[in-house]
Amino acid sequence: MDEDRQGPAGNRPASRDWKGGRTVRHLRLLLVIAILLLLVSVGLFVTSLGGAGKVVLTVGSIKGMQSAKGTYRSINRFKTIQNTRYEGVPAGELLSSVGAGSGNNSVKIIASDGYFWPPVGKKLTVEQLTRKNKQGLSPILAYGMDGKALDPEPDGTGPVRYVAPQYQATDMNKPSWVSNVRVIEVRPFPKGVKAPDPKKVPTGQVWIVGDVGNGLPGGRIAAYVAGGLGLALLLLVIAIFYVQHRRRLGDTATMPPVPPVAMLIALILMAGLVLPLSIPERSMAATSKVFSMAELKAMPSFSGHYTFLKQLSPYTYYEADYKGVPLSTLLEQSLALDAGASAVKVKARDGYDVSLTIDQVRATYPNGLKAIIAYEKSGQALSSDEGPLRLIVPQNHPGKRDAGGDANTPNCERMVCSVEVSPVPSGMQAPTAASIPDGSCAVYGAVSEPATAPQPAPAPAPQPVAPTQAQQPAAQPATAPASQPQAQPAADVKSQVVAALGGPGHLAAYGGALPLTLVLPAPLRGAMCWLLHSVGTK
Amino acid sequence: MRKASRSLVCLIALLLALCAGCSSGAKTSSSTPLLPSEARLNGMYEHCKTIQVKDGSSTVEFKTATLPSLNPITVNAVLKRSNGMHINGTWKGTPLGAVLDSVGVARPFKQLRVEAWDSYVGRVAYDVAARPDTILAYEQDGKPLPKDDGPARLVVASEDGFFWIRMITRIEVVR
Repeated sequence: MDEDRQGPAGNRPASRDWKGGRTVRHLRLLLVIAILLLLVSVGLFVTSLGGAGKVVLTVGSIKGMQSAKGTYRSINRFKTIQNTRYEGVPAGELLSSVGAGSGNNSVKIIASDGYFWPPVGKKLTVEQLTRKNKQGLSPILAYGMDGKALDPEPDGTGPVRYVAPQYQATDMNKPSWVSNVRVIEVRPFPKGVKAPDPKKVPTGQVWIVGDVGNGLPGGRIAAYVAGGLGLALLLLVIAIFYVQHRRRLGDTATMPPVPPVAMLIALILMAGLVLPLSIPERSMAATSKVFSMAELKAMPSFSGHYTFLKQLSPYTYYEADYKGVPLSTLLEQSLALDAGASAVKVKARDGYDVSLTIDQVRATYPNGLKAIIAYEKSGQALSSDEGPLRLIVPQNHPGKRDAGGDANTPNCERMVCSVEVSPVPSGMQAPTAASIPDGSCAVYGAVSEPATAPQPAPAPAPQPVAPTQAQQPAAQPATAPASQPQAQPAADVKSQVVAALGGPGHLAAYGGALPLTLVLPAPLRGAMCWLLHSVGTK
Repeated sequence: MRKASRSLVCLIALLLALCAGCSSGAKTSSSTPLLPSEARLNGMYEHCKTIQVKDGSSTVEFKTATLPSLNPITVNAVLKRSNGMHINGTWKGTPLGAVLDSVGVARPFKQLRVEAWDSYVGRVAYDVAARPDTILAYEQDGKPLPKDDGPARLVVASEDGFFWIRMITRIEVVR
């Protein structure tokens, strides 16, 4: 610094007089505050790095949580059936409690040897993990079997084992059980979070990694505070500079320009601000419509006697009468398929989905049947375990397996909540199941409003056959406008904002850079503003 | 002022080191009453070096250390696990048929009941056990097997992971 060049001899006499002594005391005080700020800031930043996107659970802490017990029946690939009594923590609730579980989250449970569930190409959501079967069992992270603690590998399947119930008596659920659970990944990962090597997680711990933490978790708050304190530190350094300057030149000195170091730091912070702004804005497509049950019932309906054949042994076969809206009516009369539409994916509330070709949607099957979104079975509203809406795809060759019938039950998806038409325009986000009311069906993707307005829906007709549906949310009158803007779930908005700003690090830089523009010389400030504006509006 | 700035730098460095120390210390501080997994692994590994082969009333011990001297072959195979994971690899070992011959098990038999350290039990039919590409492997991709697989494991190139039993402790011949 400047006064150092004058040497100690030049300084000491000045600091001895009354006025100079006070300035030096000020200077020391400022220095102490600066050091404290720096320490707190660095400490918080380190904490934010360590804590972001990761929750470490020990077996002890898992055992301290609200437990669930039950006898889980399992069937493996060779149809070996076992009944085992397990005690553990409900997996869905555990994940929700650490902040996972926004609509887009997918979960991967990984063992110490790298085995994982869900299988390659499938998705498991937190919502699915909370699903209970008819016996009231839901997936758990088990730590006790038949009253004894699970041993870790190589002796046993613990200390924590993921155990999932059967939802149907024939479910082959054993492959979904994960022994020696070490890591639970919650995707999508926030920036900077990496998947840990499950071999490196100590025995007795489970790491939940990824999109964990509700709203602003500790890690991110720490990052913001660190950014703010860093800014305060900078201002202090500038203040120290001023105090020194006044000490050297006396009270009458004019204000000096901002030192180059402060300018440089300001520029770096500015770069941190500019970077996230260059991320292209995500546009929400308008081709997303939610049809309520009343609207679906107001569409031309189709009734048919359908046959069903299961894909797996014992190849159950049965017949039933269903009534609903043909998929082709839904997609091509209420809406219009885009020219490039290539396929249709019907999604269920539990994450199951069925992909159909456009031809399968349009086809007329043997006996004049159509693929429909059903809402009635034998004149009754669908029960909650298959409805309120169910996709029914007819057999190509009707009949039992011996008669050459093809298995269609895998396509007859229960609890339908949305229909995706591929290709989905880039930037368009799939509506989450939670955002679609029960009994409604969202249609989105390569569809648009029909060129000619659809016929106005008839006045609400009395429905003589169907009893009032308990699950149906406050029945909207059929005359309500057919198109309703898709309500964007709050969680998605939050994640979009954070993504657009480039994550917590950039937010901290943003918080630091904005007030700093005030101390910049006017011309430079103008240039900065212009730069930010031009980048931001690109 | 020079003194002050020097002491400031020192202080910062000291506290940074302290921060780093604390943050890395926090990660390893939690302990569990469980045995260290390394000790458990070693116990399993030692135990699995000897496989009990039971045929009728007689039980013979087979030492996995003798595998390299029993005309080992290499097999290129894909380990298909039930979740869709595919692990490609080259395994080296002795055909299971030859291993059984070496301990005097007469052919044919109905099936093998293979027990593992963690009480997993798999049953291998004679047709599968006698295939030339069904081996008791001791090397994977030119290296000894990963320790948690044990000193030797079954590699059944014709079948999926269900048959690839590891940590084998006992083989029972079912006639």
